[in-house]
Amino acid sequence: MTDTHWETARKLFREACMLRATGDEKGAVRILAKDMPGAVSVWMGASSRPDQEKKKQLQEMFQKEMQKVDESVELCDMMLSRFEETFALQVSTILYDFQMLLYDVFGLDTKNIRPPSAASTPPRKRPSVKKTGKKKSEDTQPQPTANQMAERLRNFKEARLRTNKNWQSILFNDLEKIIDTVLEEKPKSDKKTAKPKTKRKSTRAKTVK
Amino acid sequence: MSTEELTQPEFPVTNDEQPEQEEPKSKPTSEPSESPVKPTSNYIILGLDLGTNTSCIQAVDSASGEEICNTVVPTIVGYADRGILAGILPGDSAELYGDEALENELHLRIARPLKDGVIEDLDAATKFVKYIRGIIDPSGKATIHAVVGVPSNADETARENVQKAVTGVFDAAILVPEPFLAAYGFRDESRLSDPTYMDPVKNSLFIDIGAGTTDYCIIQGYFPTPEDQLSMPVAGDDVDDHLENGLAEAYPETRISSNKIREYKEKYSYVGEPQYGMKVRVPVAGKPRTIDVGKQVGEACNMLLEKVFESLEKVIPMARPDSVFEMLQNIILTGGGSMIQNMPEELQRLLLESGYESPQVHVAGEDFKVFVANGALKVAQAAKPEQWANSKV
Repeated sequence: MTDTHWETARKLFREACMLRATGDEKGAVRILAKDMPGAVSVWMGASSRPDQEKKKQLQEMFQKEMQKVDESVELCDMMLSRFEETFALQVSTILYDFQMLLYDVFGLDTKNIRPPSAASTPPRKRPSVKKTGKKKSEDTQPQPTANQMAERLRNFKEARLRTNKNWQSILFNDLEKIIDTVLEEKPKSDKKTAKPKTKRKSTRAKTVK
Repeated sequence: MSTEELTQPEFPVTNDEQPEQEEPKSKPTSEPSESPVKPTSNYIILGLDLGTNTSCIQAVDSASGEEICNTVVPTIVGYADRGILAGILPGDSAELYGDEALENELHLRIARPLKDGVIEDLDAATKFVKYIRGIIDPSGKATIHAVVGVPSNADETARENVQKAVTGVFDAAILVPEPFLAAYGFRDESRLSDPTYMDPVKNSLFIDIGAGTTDYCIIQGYFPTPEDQLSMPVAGDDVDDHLENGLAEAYPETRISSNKIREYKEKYSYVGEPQYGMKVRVPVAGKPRTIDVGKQVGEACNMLLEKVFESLEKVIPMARPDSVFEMLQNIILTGGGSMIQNMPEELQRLLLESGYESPQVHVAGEDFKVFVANGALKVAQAAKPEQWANSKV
């Protein structure tokens, strides 16, 4: 029974990591704040191990799951690099690869993604789709166009850059990069010779009322 | 501008004829020293914290690294009343700044250049920055390169205003978010090899309770991103307002000035259970009367505590899940609000009661006024010539 509880907690955490990696911070926080504590306490209650061991096991699971998500995002980014160098026609191939990746790593439903045309990509076995219990009419949604898929990928990439520290963060003591970053934020009205090396987003904090 | 010009900014040579002054390098202090300014060099590196109530100035000679100035001054500009008699104001000045303005408040129209951490009166701010320049470089001949702290929530306009205020006053300026500077200034690099030293930038949550805003910043070994920061527009000034209203309600016949209100807050502030016996003398129709401000001070400070805690609960989930437990043990309070009696204990209690595991709230220390400027100075010293060249103002 403890295995089931453990699996529930693990899946929830993985889902939170995925949401966070794709920019849905609120969704991730909701799971971590609302669902995870209950799942963890159920598992802790069911498990007979000492508390310290349980805590350690949890920490290890957190690390492992986060690493998995980070790795998949990394793979995705590599594919995005390919995307940037190619034409829109190839988007579907890359997206399909990404969907395969999501399926392989997370078992996520990829049924709405059509495989790329046989002419452009080698045939690849399509992942089997789990039954969701939806009616047939719900399954016949219009397929996204290449442009729509490209847009989705761009959004994903932006969200990933915004949220994944491993990719965009500057080490605390790397003052040279930090100064370059703040110089890129120099007020527009007064920009003189500053030339951004890379585009970074604002470092301004959120404000709460 | 050629590449050479960019990479080779004009660095004036230190005046060798200037008599050397062998003074020990002093530790940064929040108290203005009696003679804060040493003779200026020709090329000065400045770390500046333009604060709502006070500003901290730390300047060194670029060539020798010798400290030129390390002082805290009230961020105040005083304009002389029209028609004031000669001899009333020092030097019959039309404008006074900092402590001098405060001392002569009666004969001045006081302007506060900043409100809620950002410039509100650009003209006064520009004058105040010129005054700072006058402190560190009375001759007006030195080249000054400055790193200036800006609040984490400063928008484009706020940053532009800082830029405008320093334009033509300093030779180059880099604006850096204050939470980062505070953490960097607080870090003691000389102790990093000490196993007992807890590196505050490894995994901490900084809470800077200033005058205008309370800023939260998660620092986990990286330059903080927007997702690591939160700014709440409730801070020390709101305690003043709350206290003023509370006292006006309790003692309607008294009239207490804003400065006195702030004085009571700084002297008696506490959070937690009500305390009594904090007696102050106030004038009632010109006659002295003693009143107890304990209850009102406590209510005002507890209001701040509640708000700080509310926002803290929003910040904690912003940290990576696997780092939260350790981060909760390194919550570091800084800013004027950190000096409120029982603030760390009460915040810790609220966290515990709310179910957080083993939270530990620390206070950065009484030198909180210098951390931002100290961090700014460290960044300024690390800036490369081409970076200064890109920062000319």
